[in-house]
Amino acid sequence: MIEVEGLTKRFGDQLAVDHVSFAVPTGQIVGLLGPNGAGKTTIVRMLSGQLLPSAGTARMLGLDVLREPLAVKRVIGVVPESGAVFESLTGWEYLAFVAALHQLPEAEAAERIGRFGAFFELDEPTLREKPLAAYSKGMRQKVVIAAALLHNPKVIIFDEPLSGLDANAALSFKTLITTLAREGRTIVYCSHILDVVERVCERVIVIHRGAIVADGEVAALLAQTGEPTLERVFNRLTATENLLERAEEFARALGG
Amino acid sequence: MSGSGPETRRVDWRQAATLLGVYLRLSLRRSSRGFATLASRSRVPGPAQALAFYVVFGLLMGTVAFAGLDVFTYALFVLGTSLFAIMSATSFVAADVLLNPEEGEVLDFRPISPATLLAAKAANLAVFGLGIAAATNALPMFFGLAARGARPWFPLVHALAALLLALFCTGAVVLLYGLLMRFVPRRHFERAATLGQIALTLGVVATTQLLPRATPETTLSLRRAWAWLALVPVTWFAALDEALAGPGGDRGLLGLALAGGLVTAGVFALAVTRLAPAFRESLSGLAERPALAHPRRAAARGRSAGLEAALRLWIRDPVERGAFLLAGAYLRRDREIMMRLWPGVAVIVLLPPLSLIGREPDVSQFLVLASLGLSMTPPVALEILESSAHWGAAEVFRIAPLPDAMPLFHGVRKAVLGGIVLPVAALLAGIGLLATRGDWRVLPALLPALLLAPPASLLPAALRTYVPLSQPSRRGMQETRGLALVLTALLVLFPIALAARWAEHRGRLAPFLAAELALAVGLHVALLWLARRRARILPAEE
Repeated sequence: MIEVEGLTKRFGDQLAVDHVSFAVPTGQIVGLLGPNGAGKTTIVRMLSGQLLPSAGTARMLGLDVLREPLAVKRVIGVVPESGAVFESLTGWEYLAFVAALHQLPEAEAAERIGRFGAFFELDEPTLREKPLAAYSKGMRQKVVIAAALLHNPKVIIFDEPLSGLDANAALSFKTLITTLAREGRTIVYCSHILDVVERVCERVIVIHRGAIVADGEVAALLAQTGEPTLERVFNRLTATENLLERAEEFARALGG
Repeated sequence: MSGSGPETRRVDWRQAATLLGVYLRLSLRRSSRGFATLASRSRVPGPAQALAFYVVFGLLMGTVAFAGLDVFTYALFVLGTSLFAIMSATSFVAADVLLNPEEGEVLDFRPISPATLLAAKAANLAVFGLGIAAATNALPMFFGLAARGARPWFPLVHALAALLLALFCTGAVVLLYGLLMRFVPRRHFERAATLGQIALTLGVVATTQLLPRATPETTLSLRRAWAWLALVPVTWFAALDEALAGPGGDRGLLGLALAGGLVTAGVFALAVTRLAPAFRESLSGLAERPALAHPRRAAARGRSAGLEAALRLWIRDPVERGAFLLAGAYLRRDREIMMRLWPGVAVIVLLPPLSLIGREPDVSQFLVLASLGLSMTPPVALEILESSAHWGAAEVFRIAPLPDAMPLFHGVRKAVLGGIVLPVAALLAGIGLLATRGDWRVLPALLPALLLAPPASLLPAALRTYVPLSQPSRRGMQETRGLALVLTALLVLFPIALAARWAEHRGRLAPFLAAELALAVGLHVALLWLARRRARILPAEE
């Protein structure tokens, strides 16, 4: 369970996150949506104890992110948007290293790394012998996702997890997270790929200019707004006016 | 790809100037990124701190002008020391400036000729070298007026000589990389580039160290060794000082000065035009095909399993062990770190044996230098291991449930002590035994340095929160910090090394070692206490 109350973040004069409050029950997949610069990643970084909030509180499974950051970090897994890894390590070495940071026994870590490798179709020689610098972007992203799930977290935060994954890997991944949710994991899913969010998430929270502008089940939001797709709902809530007309006009001006 | 026709060798100077402007802006802005830690951030920008350091360095160096030296000898000394500073600093950042494979994603598909790209990169490196040359010589060029026979316009001429020297150093580094990229296959490139860098550094150190030893009279009176001195680049630029701002009258000197200018121009032209096509293609190769490890044989795997078991016995904490392995991997495989670290280590190994070359081999000096080198290695290596091109990946330390950064620091520290300091000590001991024809007293004489290495290795974490590989490369900062650490360590360790030699001569090495052990333990405890106070990994505030 995630409980967020009045979470606020200021960077100097700029209000990046403005008194955001929501709760996510155990086993739910919630989509955190918003246009670029809306404050999604800032919220994710505060929820995972990476960034100090200016005000407000956040609790993960009853643990306060500010007061018990280590306990929170033990029960959460994060796939950061950056997808950065130590590229001079092999995939196996990197995962073993992350497992060590989470104090996982070595034999158990090796067994789990093998299982993740098999699931993501990363064969053992590749994992063991090739440095991450030699991996494709998609292969590296698979390692980043595996690193977030290795310690079997109860709450998982994905920030643009499908970045670089091919269609098959993306399909496996979507099945994986719905299964994880069914087994009691709470999942926060940030993405700009709205049709995926529509299919995977039971509920979406839309952030615009640091504040929540919509929060509800996907079907309910569609019904409330009378729009046919989540993309249109998102566009209505967050886009500047006459977006399509302006795009057409601009394209014509370029051509002329 | 880029082809090899005349167009690929033509420099579009306007485009090169635009690229240079962007490179300079990026290197200035880069200094504000990185993993924020408990260390207080200085208000003074990194490049300004670095330049200030080199100005002070120059101040100390320039004071020899008041020792009654003639213009040529003074110029030779100042430019020789500047050569060391410029060459160390430029080769330290060269891989970052010349071989940044990530920029290929931005530039590879743009209409930029290989020669233009290389010219912009070389100019970027040259600006850096010129900055160091200017800062290092800012005061010595005026102090030079006190040298014997100096004319009133000495500062202007010396500024020109320092500028040419900086361009020569940059050109030599660019040429080295160009040749390596032209002739060395991709899979051997990392190792070859590191070896090339080591050779270049050793060449500079050997030159500057052997110059004084080659003379029959006083240390700095060099003119008698003319014939071979003419082959040493520093001489060409010192000759410019003497020919134009000294008593002059020697046509040979003017010839040497001209040769310096011509060689500098030739080195640049060769590097930027002739080698540019191969450089561009190899650069793309660096981005496309990063080094692949060869499958390990069964014997190697067995050995590695044995090492892992030994490591588990030595380092019980899994996080510490993880950090040890992380540092070990970067020391062996990461091009940037290898090229920064190993040339420095090579200097530490080379300097002491140089003291054995000359008219009277000096074993005492060998031992003092070996001791200094060994005690300085840990902080300098740890400084290098704090930065990486993959600094963004250090986010994992903020996400992981770590109470503080101490286990990470200890793991890296042990990798440095076990992977660098002990092998270097063994190598120096071997050289010492050879030089003294098997005098076993050399071995206990190295102990004082080994005793000081563990507390010295705590220095970086005592000064700030140390998180490995968490900082982007800050041009000018690492080498400045490295040089500052070396000078600080010299001030502290030199008296200890001298005292150790004195004790050994008097047959009192054992009580000296006991006293030093007590001092080392005290230092260790104090530095550990400081390091623990700074070790918390806090959530970022921005």
